[in-house]
Amino acid sequence: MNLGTLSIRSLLSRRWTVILTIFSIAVSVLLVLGVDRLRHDARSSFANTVSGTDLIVGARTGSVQLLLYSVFRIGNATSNISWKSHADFAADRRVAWTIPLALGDSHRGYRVLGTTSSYFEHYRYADGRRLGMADGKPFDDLFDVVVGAEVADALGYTVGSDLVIEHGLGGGINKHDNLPFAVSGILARTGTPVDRTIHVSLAALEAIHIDFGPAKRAAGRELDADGLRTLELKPRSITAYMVGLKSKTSIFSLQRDINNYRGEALMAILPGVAMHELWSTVSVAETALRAVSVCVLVSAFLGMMTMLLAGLNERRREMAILRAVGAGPRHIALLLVIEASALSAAGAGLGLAAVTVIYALLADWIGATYGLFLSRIAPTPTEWLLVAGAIIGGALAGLVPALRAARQSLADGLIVGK
Amino acid sequence: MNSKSKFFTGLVAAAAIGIAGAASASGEPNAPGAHVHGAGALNVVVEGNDVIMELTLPGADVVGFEHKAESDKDAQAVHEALEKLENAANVFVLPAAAGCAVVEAHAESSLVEETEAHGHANENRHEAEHEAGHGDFGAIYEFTCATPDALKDIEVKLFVLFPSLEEVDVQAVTAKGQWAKELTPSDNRFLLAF
Repeated sequence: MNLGTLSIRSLLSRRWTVILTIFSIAVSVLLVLGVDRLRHDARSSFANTVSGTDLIVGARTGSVQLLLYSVFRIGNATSNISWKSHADFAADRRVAWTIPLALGDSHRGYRVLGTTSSYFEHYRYADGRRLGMADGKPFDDLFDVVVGAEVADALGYTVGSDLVIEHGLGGGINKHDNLPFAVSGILARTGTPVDRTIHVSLAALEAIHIDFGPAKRAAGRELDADGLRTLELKPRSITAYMVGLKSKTSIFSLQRDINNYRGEALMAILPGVAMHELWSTVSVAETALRAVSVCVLVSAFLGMMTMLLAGLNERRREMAILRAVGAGPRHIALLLVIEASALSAAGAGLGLAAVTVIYALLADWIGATYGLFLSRIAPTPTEWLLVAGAIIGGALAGLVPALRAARQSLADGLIVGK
Repeated sequence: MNSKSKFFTGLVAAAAIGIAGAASASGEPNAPGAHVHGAGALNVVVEGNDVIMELTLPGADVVGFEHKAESDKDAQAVHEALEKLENAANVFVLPAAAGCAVVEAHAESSLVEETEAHGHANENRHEAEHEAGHGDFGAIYEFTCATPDALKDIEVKLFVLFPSLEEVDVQAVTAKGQWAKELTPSDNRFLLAF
């Protein structure tokens, strides 16, 4: 019987303490890996959402806030900006395209975004990928609606489905089912907040608000769908707009011109730089989380060390027998190190398996609830390294009881309990 | 300089900015931009073989004051600083492998009246002037680089040039994306090929 099988058999004979130790290591490895995965996924999920946009323009606020509400639909704008200022800069000779974004309404918990066909043409995500249609076509009629992949899945919409746009952020009584909105297209899945967005034309948003506003009541008549179609619906304000430039060399000069615009308090941000700002704010919390998870791992190893040390006293007879059958102090020490390594390997393996399973199970829910798209399910090389590190750490932690056992075994005779 | 006298210079400088700010605010429709002592800003754009760098520095760090240069001594200090800034080699060390040549380098300051024209003003220059607002120094550098992909490890020597400078916020825009970094005297390098 070699030392390996011997130590496994020995561990099996103490299975309850051993199982608890393995669990505590597994939980701490799960924590370390989980924190690292979430951090990584949060970053790539954010970074993939906007690509190829040079500037984002909105009302003057914090640059991170503007980025969050315009691109990630997190939070709300402090105020809107006028259509006129958008038109001024859209016509600027440095500007290649703009995508107007008007937010503020919702449909069954999903944000409604008012925009133009420019959105389908110029919006890019994840290294310059274009939006694709899974079914149908972009909006054409006033009451056409294009829904993201997740909206279509969750609400069971197909091309042609009717829907009712709510005024405000939903849940209220302000529904108006007299406007015949219908799904004209479904976007292909992107893994970005686009999947959770309902797209209508800017004119459609105006129609909702005309229908709703005092103008209708003053006129004392129901504006029906065809009546609205004949109106010239011009947007008065939008929430923000994305800008693509003809040449990147003009980015900072245009940014300054927008920031110094005389008509209203505008702000232009570089999305990549705002993202950087966001991460440097968040990184303190990330570092704290990582530090805590590493501390938990260390305490799990200390727990294992305690378990092994406490066990030594009960195992004096076992050690003495091993000595009697010819095991040297070195063998005894090695036995303990093997035990410690086996425990941490089992714990780390279990932790890795747990993080993988939890990820696979929760990916959809986290994506829907927090907008965090968890991409990779299988462990990465870095994670294997982390696991290997945990096993080595465990083996090192086993050295303390190992040395003690080797010394004890020299002093103890076969008869214990004197 | 001991910490007490540094504190007082700080106070004086702060008062000076307050005045300068109030003076300029009356002439401008919008709020003055942020102005932080010890902090400069560097905007970098790479497009094709062109590399454009726009630099903004607080007057307090370049010449030690932020009021209009009244005495000849002040004016002299500003002109010397401008001359230093106009030599791109004083400010940046670009990797030799990129094969970059200076197309133009131009610096100016709102602390002196522009009497003589510094060459013909092109569009970018105009923007640099615009930026140089509240007692600031502005400089714009244009390079052409044979191999822009080799633009790794760009060293910014401003911290040696102006020892009171504590940080330079770099914003970079290339075909691959946008990116930012805060340079400090101990970490004064950045890379563009990312």
